[in-house]
Amino acid sequence: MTGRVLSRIALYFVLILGACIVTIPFIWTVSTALKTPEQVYLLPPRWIPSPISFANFAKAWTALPFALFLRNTMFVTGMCLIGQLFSASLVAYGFARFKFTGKTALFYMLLGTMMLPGQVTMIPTFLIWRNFRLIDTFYPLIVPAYLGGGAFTIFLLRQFFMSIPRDLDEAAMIDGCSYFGIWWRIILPLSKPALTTVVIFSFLSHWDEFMGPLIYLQSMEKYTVSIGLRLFQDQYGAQLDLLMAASLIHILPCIILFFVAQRYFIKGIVMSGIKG
Amino acid sequence: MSNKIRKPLTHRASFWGFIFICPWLLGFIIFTAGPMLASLVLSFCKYDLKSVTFIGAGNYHRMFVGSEHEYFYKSLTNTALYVLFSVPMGLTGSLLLAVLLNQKVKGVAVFRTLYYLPSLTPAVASALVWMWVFHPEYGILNSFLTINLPFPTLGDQGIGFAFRPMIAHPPDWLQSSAWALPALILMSLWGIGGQRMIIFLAGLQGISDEYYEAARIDGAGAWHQFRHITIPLLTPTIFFNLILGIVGAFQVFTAAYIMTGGGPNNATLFYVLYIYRHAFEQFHMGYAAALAWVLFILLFTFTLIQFKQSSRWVHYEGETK
Amino acid sequence: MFRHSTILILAATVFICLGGCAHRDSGKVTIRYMAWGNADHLAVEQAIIDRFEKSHPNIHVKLFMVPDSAYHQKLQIMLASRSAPDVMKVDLYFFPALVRKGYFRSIQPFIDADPTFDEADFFPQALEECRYKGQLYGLNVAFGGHVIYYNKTMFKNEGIPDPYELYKRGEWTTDKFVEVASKLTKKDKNGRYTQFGTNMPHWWTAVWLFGGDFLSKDFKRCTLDTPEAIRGLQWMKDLRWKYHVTPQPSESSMSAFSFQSGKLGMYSAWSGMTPVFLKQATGFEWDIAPEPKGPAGRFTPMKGNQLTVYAESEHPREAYEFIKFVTSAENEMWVCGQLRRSITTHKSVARNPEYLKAYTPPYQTDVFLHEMDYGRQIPINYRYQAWYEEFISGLDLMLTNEMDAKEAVKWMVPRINQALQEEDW
Repeated sequence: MTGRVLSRIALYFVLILGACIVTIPFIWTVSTALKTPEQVYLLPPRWIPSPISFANFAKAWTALPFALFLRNTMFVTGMCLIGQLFSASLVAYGFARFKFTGKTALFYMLLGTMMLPGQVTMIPTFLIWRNFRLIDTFYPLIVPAYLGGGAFTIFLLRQFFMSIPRDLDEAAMIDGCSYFGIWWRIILPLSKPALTTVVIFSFLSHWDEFMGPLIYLQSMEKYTVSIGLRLFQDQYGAQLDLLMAASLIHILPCIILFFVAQRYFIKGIVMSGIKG
Repeated sequence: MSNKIRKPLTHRASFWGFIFICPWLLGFIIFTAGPMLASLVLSFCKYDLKSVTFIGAGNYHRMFVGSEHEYFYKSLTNTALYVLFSVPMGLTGSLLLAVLLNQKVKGVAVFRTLYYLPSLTPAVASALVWMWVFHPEYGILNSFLTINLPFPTLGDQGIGFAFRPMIAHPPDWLQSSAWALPALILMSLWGIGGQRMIIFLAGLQGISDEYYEAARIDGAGAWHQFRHITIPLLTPTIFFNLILGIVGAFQVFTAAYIMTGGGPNNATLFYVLYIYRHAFEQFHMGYAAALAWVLFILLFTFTLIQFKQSSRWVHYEGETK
Repeated sequence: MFRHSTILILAATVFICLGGCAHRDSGKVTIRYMAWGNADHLAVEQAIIDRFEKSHPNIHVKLFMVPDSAYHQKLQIMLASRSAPDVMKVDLYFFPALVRKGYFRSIQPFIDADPTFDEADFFPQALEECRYKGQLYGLNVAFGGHVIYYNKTMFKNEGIPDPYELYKRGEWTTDKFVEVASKLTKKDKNGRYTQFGTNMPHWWTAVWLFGGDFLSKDFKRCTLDTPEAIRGLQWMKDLRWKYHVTPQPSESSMSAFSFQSGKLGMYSAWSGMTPVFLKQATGFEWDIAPEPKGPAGRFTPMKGNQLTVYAESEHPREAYEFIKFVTSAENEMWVCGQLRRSITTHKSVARNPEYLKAYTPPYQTDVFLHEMDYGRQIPINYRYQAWYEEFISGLDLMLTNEMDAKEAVKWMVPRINQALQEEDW
């Protein structure tokens, strides 16, 4: 019994120690955001600001039109999230469950799209969108999410879908379920942890996406928060207090989303039902 | 009976399979295939962002034996070393952490969030903190490495103790061409609670408790369960993280771009940073494309081999037997 | 099946909802202007635009402020895809390469036809770097050289004369610089540094101070292998490894010992740092002084950023009008005289006593004027990016204490020569 208690204590010790180490930069972010300007560059750094000031949040928020940037970011992220969740799971289902000519080749092509560094395809891709006359619109940022949403997500979901036993598919098919039905009624409900990861990754990546908005958006009224944040920096350093305050506002929704979503990382109840 | 249903189904199935992947295929044809092919063509050209001239294999010649071969091999070696160390360490770390955070622990939600925070922390903030961690004189790391420890000494009065620094001359880390790359590798471990860990965590949910219960009844210990249940059933996720880890690590960019700019003396010149320099600083887009395609072929071959080998160790529950 | 149609409808809705068309009023010309900078610069740029639009009611300027870190990447994508804005800011380090490709339009015809443009009022060096094949392809903004920002409080506490006093007395030399910096460098009882005398001076300055230079006049050969240039580089190395007066080998905004921290005595940097320090260096008194005088004299690298007109702009005349306004004496009285974002390019502004009047630090503003006398144009052509990589690698070898200046020069000169002699590829 003491062995169990001891191992329990050891577990907490390791977890807490690790958590302290990995969160240092985040703590520093919070601390900087709460500093008055003259405390920001003190050496050695002061971890607990005194006085504590909340003025940076208001200052950062008004230094740039962040309310507008936030609205744009929310729109783009929301649209992408929906698109990616549906299209990626459909494509992944296609790759995981069907046999068709050229499937292997197509799958390798899908993986291949991840392997060419984006720097060299950036200009040709930009030209395509320019020919569609869609520069300075949100289309180049959103449409790709509806077209599979990228190899990473498809491959990820494919791996999870392939781990789901086929017995249920076949049972459902005998019951007269269509392929779409199987995807919707069997595969998706059984993949909650996987879909949760996709929601988290999709949200975070679009929320924080920089390169796409930077290249495709031109009018400042269409800017997203991630561009706005980088406007607090220049070659002579950064307005760290404002930058950190604005960054915190920016990542707060991400933290909340993650905190809420991680609850779905629990064993699917249905899973054991299959095997039984 | 099953034979009767399946035969006609395969025809329908191959049609439907195709339909399902259509969104991606459409996107691939319209937006991805063109630019990829264009960059392949450009890799045989001189393209200074203004005019395109066909120069045959000139870019490749320059890379392998010509004036740039030193930088090419340097960046490739740096990147390969980074991959070699950061991927296995990162994978193991993430997997162990995922197993820990999959326990029934009080406040597990908080722990998971805390460990994920590095992925959310603004890059500038983490870069600044890392600068302090690695600072030769002021850094946390070297302060720790130079802590005075009692070392046994043999003196006139027998064995005594002398307090000496644990390491007398700790490395200059980011400011030394020998230690900058190890510093960046060390830094990559800070992200073990990120994306990879979440994927492992999701993967762990797919393993039915019944296996563990059965093993417990058989008297199997924690290690045995981990080794013979968790690992085999997690292989699809491990495989995914391995492939993605390698592809991702080969394209490491941001850390070096923000923290070292590739220096000192190109010790942290990663492959993609090298591509970036030529694409957007030196106007050698054709050469950059050639570099990119070499990396592509490298990664593609690597991935193909892994897929071929995967049938030996990756086990899918839903695979057609 | 109906699930499928749901998705189709959803996708269609997305397409319909998205995007918007810009409305253009007729009669008024809109020009697009792209610049980089931070949130403060944004406010300044917008204020300039507002003033411009007031005096030019038929022109509307649409500003794109792009983050500094990604500006040139975005610029190049826009240039390559022929969708660049009418007016764009370009850093001198990229200007020669870009102008050579024909991306910019010569503004010489507009200047020649413009009786109100007074070329004689510009400091010649400010115009020189905007010239290509004898024609002006832009005008300079954010012009200036290096000055030394110094922590006045620290000098007072130490009881030693500050750089400006020494400069006025004619004693401000590189030797004095090292001496002062050594006095300001402090350690705690564990031997750990708590305060440093100076940051690393810029390599342009260091090499010139000792009489060396980087390239031959025709840009074909590297001249760093002269004893003078080697002495300059060795001096940089010694500041770190012999005198231990500078915190880290490379100039970096991420240094722990920032000027703002109050733990750095002197900070050599571009003239335009004032707005940053006014906000952030608040815990102590500070002011400016010129760079010290070396054996070969006093030098500082002068450069600016060019405001250019896109070659394919549909409104080059309006674009020119805007550039002319931004670089005008009137505008510089505000941007340089009051905001101190750079030093002026106009002789008339420099002569105006109002320009030097200061109500906030720096008060010793004559330093800005003197820059023009000893400032030196950066030798830069379209091959700059190529040889720079080689130079920095060699410099790293030296500053990380792996080689001394002589060895580093031996290492880098053949490489730089090769980069210089190679044609653009």
